[in-house]
Amino acid sequence: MTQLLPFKLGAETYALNLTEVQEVVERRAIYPLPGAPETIAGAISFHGRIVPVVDLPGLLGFSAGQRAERLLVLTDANGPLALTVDGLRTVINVDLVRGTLSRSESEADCISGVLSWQDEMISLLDLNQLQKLLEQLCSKTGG
Amino acid sequence: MRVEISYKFVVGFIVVVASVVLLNSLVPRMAIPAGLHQLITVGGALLVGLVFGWLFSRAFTANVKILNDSAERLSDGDLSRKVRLRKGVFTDETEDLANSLNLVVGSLRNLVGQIRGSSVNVNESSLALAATAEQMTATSHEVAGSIEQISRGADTQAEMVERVSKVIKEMALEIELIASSARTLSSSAEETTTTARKGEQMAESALESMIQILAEVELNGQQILSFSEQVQKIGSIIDVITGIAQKTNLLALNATIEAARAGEYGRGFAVVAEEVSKLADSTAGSAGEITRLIETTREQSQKVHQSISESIRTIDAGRKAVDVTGSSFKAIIDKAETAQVKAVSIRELAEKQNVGSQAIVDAIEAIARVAEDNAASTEEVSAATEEQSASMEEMTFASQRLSKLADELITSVSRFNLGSDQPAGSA
Repeated sequence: MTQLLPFKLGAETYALNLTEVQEVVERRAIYPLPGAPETIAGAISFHGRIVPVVDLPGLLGFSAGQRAERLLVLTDANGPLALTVDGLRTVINVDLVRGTLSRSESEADCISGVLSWQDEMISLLDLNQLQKLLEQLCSKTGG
Repeated sequence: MRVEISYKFVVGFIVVVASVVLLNSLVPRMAIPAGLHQLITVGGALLVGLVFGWLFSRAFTANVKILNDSAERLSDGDLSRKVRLRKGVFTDETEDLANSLNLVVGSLRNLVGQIRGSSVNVNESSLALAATAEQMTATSHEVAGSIEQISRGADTQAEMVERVSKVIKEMALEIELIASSARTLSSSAEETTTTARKGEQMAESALESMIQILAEVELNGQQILSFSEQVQKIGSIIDVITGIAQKTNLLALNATIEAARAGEYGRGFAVVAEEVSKLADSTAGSAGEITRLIETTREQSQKVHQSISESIRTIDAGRKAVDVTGSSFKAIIDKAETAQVKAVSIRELAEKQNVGSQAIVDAIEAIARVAEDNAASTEEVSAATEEQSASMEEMTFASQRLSKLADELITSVSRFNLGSDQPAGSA
């Protein structure tokens, strides 16, 4: 059994493995980073550390909507990084082995697989691809 | 010189005798044969006698003839001339007779003149009398006509009086009706006054109730406002609770994350965190429910507040209306009291009118009696006038007869010729 944390990006539902998430925090003051690309919303103070915030919907090409009051802070293995999402859902328990999971063939959409859960398609966010995407963006802007 | 006829005869005889004697003495003296003496004497005497006789008889005869003629004229009615004898040397009895005749003529002239004048007067008077009588007849006819008209008028009057009497009696009945209506009106006005007083009292109590209700409703409004404020406070508390629930949820989520990271060891902890999360969700749901309820309550209390404001306005309008009603009742009381007073005065007037109409009925009956008497009197007068008219006609006939008689008299008298020198009695 795997615990997933689903969240909304536009009309789509994405999810992260709960082990990839360090903590969910309330939205707080985001300090803008000079020279950063538009998808980097800024940085926050997280337990005395400075963590950059990625505008995930903006990054994945979703229209700018009402952002959720929560920020997802990822584990150090994937970060340090915080993501803005459009809405958080409660944790779900799924069997990734038996659940319908199909590998995505494209690497540009940051999706490691799609799973059907209770008549709903949930995309699993691929953090490695996201990181690559961020690196490409930062190298483009020279950050 | 007056000498009577007999004396004249005596004188004549004497003269004849004297002439015989004289001749007897004279003749012998003359140269006449003696045989003729006797003849001459006789002849002389006869001659003298004849002369004297002729002289005397001539005058006498003439006078008698004149007298005779005069008498004849007189008998013919000619009184124009007096008897005039020839003036002789010796007057005799014929003169006396002529004088007597003249006296008779004078007397007759006077008489005839007077008769003529009187008869003319009588004629004129009788004609005037006839005219007057005719006029009087006509007048009496007119009077009769007028009396008849008066009689008819009296009949009409009697009829009219009867009708008037009937009308007056009907009027008296109507006045009685008016009086009873005025009594009813008076009692109605009294009832109206009483009712209006009750209505006024009710309006006053209604006004008091309205004012009380207004105060209560205003109090209710204030209570609703304070209730609203209380609910608002509950709402802020609920916000706090909601915030706590969200934080709890977040904490539960993070606890779940921590438990997941702890793997198998965090299993029990994850269950607890899930329960906490459920509790927080439940709390948040309940808080949301309360918030919705508060919202609904707020809306409803707003509506209540609006409706209370509306009620206050309506009650105020009602209070004004009741106020107007009270003053209307006062006006009604005034009017009804005035109406009552007027009805009473109408009743009194109607009663007076009733008395007056009774008096009129009495008077009309008296008039009717007088009119009947008048009718009877005019009939009597009519009869008297007819009698008078008949008498007048008789009088006319009588005066006409009198006039005729006077005419006849004038005709009778007119054969007397009085000549030009009529005596003054005819005038």
